[in-house]
Amino acid sequence: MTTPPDKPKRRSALGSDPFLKVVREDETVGNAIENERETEEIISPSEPPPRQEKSFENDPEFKATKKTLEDLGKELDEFHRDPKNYNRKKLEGLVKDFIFELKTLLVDSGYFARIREAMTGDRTSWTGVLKGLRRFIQSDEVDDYGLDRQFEMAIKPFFDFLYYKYFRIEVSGIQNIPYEGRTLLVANHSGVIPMDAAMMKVAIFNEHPARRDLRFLVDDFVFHFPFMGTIMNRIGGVRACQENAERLLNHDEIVSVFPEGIKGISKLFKDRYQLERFGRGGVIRLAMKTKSPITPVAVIGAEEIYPLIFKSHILARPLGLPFIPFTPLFPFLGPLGVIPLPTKWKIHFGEPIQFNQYSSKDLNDDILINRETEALRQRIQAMIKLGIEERQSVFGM
Amino acid sequence: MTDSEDKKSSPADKLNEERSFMGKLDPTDKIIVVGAHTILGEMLIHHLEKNESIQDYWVIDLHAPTKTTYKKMHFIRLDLIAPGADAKLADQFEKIGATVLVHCASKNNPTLNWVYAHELEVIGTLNLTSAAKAAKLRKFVFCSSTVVYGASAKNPNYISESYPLASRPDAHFVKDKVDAEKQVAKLYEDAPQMTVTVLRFCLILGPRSENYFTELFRRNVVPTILGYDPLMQFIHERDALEALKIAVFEDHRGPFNIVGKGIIPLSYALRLSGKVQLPMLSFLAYPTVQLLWNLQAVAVPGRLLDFFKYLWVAEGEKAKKLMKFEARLSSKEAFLEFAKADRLERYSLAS
Repeated sequence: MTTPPDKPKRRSALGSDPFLKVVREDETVGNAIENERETEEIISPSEPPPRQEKSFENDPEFKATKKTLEDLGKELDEFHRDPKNYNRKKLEGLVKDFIFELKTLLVDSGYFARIREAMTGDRTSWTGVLKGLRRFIQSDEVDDYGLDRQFEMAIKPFFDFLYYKYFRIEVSGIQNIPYEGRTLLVANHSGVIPMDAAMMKVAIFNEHPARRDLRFLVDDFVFHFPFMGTIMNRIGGVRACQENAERLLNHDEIVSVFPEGIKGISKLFKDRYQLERFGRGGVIRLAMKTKSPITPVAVIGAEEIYPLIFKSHILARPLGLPFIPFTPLFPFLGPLGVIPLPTKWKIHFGEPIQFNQYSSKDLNDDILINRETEALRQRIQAMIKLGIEERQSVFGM
Repeated sequence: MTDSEDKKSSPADKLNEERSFMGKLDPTDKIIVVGAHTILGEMLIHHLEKNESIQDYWVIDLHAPTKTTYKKMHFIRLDLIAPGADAKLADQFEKIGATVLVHCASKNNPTLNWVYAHELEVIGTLNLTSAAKAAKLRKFVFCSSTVVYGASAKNPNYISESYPLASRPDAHFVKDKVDAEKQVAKLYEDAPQMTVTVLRFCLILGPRSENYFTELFRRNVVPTILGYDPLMQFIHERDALEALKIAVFEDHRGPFNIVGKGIIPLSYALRLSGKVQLPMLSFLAYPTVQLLWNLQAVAVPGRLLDFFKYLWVAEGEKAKKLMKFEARLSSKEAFLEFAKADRLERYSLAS
């Protein structure tokens, strides 16, 4: 799509909208641009789309960041090729450069101020910020599953930043998510600190015309830790168990599950995008029992944010964690190592699979369930393969 | 619930709406209430005294209720845990010709004297069930609590009646309640003709309720656990009485969760009632509270802190569907009613 030179190129919140897609296929390019403006007005959601900043691409600071990112990408590619003989010094220097530039970029673009404003309603005073931190230990009115709308809106600018600016997520197939009714999203799980669930939530909220809420199932161990369990719960996560999933689906919610579980997030870098076993068929059983369609989802790019080169189970045991990750950056750079690599993401929602034809007695047919589970796994694997073939580079610069 | 609905009726108005009962109690039915000094027993006796369709009722306890004069009441002084209590109970039941037994005699509070608490809860229930079996009662209503599910990070958001009870609870308070439930559950098989109803109440709040929770929440500074903010569920005492009445006057078999509508995060409830929170680090809180408990400075032993840390919310769908019971007040309203009564009490004490 060509853009007029005077109009700054923008990544629209509705960029991958299903309606636009149809228009683009049928009409000529010139008409499509006009239609884009119209459709944007017609289906503009109840809340305004995120404020557009001044054009990032022409900003000298952004150019500097982009240059560092390109270098970083090259270095990482080199690291992928030969991790054993790689000299880490250069990479560390580049990451430090990158973080410094990113900081300037963020402060200038006013993202920090916006996050602070959303948290506190106050742009200027730092006592307001302290008051805003109250939200992390106290809740407001919540819904039946503990989702706190005010808290969610307060931290949304941070996730919007990750979504639009950091991972530059491209979404396709959003039309496969219905306007109402239950849906089970099944996706590949990745990233040592899994951000895919949160990004899928932001994607559906920002891109889907109905602005639906996504509920995600969170592994047990999270709820043992202070803050983590409560915060997950306040932004729409519930403990991953059959009872919760069934209840949510019976109340016509969108539920996302990651059947790979812990095995998925602890995948070594060399095993990336190789789907692990899909549990014991709980997903298919759930879909059959609640008669909900399954939408397979492929998340591309998320598996490279923390290149896991080694994991220790022994060190993790006393902490109650499933494993301790070792990435090229993590224990060596200290807290800076927790910052994920800025890969470019693509989230593809596949076509829904219906399970209406099965009756309750099929629930006991283990062979059938295993076959369906394997078919689903193959389908998501194929979607991932296609996505990887399509992309130009990991960092998408 | 929207604001407009709220304006239509205040909590007090909502509590005055009463549901009519499906089946009337047989006039020949004779009701025995065990445990007159628990909040549920007391409220039920008040109701039976007021109810015109009831001629007589019997109360078994160690001490007679003395708050008002009860004209229709026949008091029987019996120690549930004395040796041979089951035979005595069975004799009494046969003498009276009793048909309905309501068992409310269980502890609301954990106590340091856990040997006595164990005897009362488990052996007392055992004696009552064996006497009920021997006297071939028609109905056995047992008031339990949702603490039997235990609080854990592994609980689902809403616990249904079929969820297994806490298997290895390390707090005596929970363990005794689970054991008592197991005694009653044996009746399903041993006496199939008997209608056994188990009501699992969540935390009962209201002006008169006294339990470990209210004891803590009557303080100005309430200790909480840093980083944990569980969803809590409360039921107003008059809603609890309504459920108990349904269980006594109608026939419903099996366990039922009796809970208030909706949930409320613990921190929000505290903020609404104007209490000061004192967040404690989890690993320090357990030994500290256990020490204070041993000195009797707090009402909760350290092990029960799980109930202020993890989820233990129960699902009320079964009671809604089969018993047609729905709490009139939400958890939030029930908590606010409790806080209001608490504040009034302080004010009247101060003046």
